[in-house]
Amino acid sequence: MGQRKQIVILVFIFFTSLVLITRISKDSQIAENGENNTAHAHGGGYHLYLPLIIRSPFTTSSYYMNHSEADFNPPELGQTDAVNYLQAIQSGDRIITILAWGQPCKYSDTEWGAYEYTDTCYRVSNIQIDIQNYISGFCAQLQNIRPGGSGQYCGYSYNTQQVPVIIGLGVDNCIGGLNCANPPGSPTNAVTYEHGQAWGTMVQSINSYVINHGYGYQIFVAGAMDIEAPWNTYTNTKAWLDGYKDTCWRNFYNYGTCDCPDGYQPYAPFARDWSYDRIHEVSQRGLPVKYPLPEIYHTDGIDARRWQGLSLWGYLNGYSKITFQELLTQSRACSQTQNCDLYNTLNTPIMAIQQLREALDADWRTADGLVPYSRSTDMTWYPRP
Amino acid sequence: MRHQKSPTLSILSIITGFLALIALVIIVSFAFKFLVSSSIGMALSTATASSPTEVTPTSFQHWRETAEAAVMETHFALIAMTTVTPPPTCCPPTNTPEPFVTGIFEAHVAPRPFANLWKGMVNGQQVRVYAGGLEGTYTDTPNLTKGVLEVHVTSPSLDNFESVRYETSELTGWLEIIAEDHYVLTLVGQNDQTLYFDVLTMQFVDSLTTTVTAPTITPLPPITSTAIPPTPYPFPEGYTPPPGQYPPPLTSTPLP
Repeated sequence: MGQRKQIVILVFIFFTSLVLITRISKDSQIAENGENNTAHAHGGGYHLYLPLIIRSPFTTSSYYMNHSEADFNPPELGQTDAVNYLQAIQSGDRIITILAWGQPCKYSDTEWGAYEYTDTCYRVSNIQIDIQNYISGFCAQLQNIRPGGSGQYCGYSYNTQQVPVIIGLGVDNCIGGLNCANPPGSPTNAVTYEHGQAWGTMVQSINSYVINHGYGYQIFVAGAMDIEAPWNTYTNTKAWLDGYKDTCWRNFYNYGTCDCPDGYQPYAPFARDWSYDRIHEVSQRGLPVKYPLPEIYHTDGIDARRWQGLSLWGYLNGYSKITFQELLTQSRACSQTQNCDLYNTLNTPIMAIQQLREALDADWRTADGLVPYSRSTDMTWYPRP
Repeated sequence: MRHQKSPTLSILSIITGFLALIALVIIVSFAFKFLVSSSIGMALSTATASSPTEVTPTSFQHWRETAEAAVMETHFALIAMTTVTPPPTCCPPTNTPEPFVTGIFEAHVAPRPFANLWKGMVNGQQVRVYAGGLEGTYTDTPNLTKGVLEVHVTSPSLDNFESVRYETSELTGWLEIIAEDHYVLTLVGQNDQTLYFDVLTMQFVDSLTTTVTAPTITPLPPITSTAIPPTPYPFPEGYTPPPGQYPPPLTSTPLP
């Protein structure tokens, strides 16, 4: 009887210890996989975020720039934005805004340009003036609110560790034609090595302007492109990027789409000559240092799942998962055109962040791929569509 | 004769058994963990083998962090070695506006859903008529949707603007402007249907020769331009944003 009792007790202890060790094992997995104050349990289907309260990200405006409108006023726009972003700058946050032009074009035999969301090709030298005017208005306003220190002319420096305001200067990769659907050899294509060089030279030149005027501690200019696979080939887009890289060392943001399958599907077809590898390359790999600024427009979350598929491709091919620092929505642009609700592309920034976080966290190999204090920016037509 | 165990001995044997079991389970769990992680490692190395370049997550991350740091170090080095010129306090440089050229042109307005536009002067005002379709529909040719025209009118002083949008009553697909004759535009839909639009009276008409008596475009009054107004985000019905996040702060108090 005593021996039986002992056996029963031993069996009870055995199973109790098993349960305890299983629990410890899961907890230690959570601790091991924690990074950036966030932890995730592999395969468990549940999340533990540390700290448990995550601050809502600040959303900036990005602009489709249209100079042909009479009330196009970059200095005034810069001043308005400086006031709107002051709270984030004071908090030491980093924010990003994109000043976007449209399809690259050839203004003349000697000068490149970009369409300004009309029929007019607008020369790069004029685009540079508009951007510099925006920056000078932005900095003058910050300087008025609270001046910077010696040699600093863009307001008080609340964050001495990093440059808080990133301004991406972008064009798209449209080849021309109806819905940018022209064939690869189309004469309308200006997404070329030479145009990339011209754009890179402009970005470098604007950076010199920023630093020479004492704005560099507050403003970081970068190149950018709205890369969409159906709009042009990888070959043309890569040539443009090579031109940019050969004239400009500054960071590059792809604020385009991931025209990938819904979720990871390694053998699914892609538009034109694109592939997972190539979209990953123009968004994440090589020089210039590239960052994806993913368009998360659709309210059904498909954009988020597509970018998750790309991140998983990266993981499976040795590049590690993508860590997204920021994302892009277009809810203000939608409210201006009153057209997006037909096709469910009016995600608000907070909805987009939730979707991307959920999509990435659905697979432990891409989980925690959106930084906790991710930046968010929302497209607007300026001055109007 | 039955041997009686002392209670102390029994407790000791239980504790010993308990410790032995825990040790066993720990050993087994470590062995299991090792085997599982080895198999995951094998799967990863198999995937890496198909990669176009020999990289590992660690080396890629290291390269990326180094490159990011190098960019920022260069930026700060440039700041440190540059003698700053105070920015001018007045009068930023301005651009000369591009001339207003009339005719039919490719639109170049992606992501807006327009194929092309007609530009002309009506009563001294700049008029642009954009032709296209509903957003995101161009590739859905088997399921054609309505065609769209958007008319933009800018006042002679270029400081006032009006936009009117028209949709076709039938499912024509995207519209394209192919000709203009006396301010009547000839349009073709993706379904090859031909339509006519009278710019002066801003309405679809039956043919190039149709006479209409509707009022024509009237001059817009001049207005004073204003800065872009920050508009609230259009939240979907039933969605409540977190307090204090939207819209972004419009004003701020200067710091002391």
